[in-house]
Amino acid sequence: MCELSNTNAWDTTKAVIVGLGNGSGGAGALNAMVGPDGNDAPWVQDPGLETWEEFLESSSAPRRQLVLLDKDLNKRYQFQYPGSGISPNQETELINAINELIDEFSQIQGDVNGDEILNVLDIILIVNMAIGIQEIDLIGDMNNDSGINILDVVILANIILENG
Amino acid sequence: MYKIILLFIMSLSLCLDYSREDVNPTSETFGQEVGPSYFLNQGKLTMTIFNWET
Repeated sequence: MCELSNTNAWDTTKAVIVGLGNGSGGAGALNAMVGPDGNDAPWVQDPGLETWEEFLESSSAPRRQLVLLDKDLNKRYQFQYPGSGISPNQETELINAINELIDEFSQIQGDVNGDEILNVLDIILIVNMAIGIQEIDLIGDMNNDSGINILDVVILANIILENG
Repeated sequence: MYKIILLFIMSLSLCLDYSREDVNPTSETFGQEVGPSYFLNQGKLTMTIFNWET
């Protein structure tokens, strides 16, 4: 499955697949993770199954599971695949989940209109949220207090002025 | 105040991370200690596949 990282199905500068094994295969076992096209995904060992238990909530959890973390290192997706391999539909579902997280990760805090630029247009939208005439979008929550108010407007304005 | 502390502790417990040596000689990070926070510092999200060698 790690060979997916070689397919460029997502922006590999934004997300990386890491293989985690229990170290039971020995020195030659790594070849199992290197496909015919080569596989440059990182591969780490967890012989004590601490990480296995932390991520999968049980040291006896079945293998062939993929866990996706978001930018706050929270588990957002967990997929399990059969031994026969990943189906096209499953691959599509996985790629969509990866790209969703990448889009979320790539968002610029304060870029309310999504034009990848912080300017007065974003300030106007945040003001509208603060006065209640526009639905709240926490992309405008500049101080991460889970709300939109004048403080967020001031912070964004200062950022824009600094970037001048 | 108690609720704030409890929420803070809960938020810490949700963060998943590890730091382990990359043993794949074809990997760019071969020999380095890698994990989700390592890659996050490089601006990358991490997807971990739990499997074992056969």
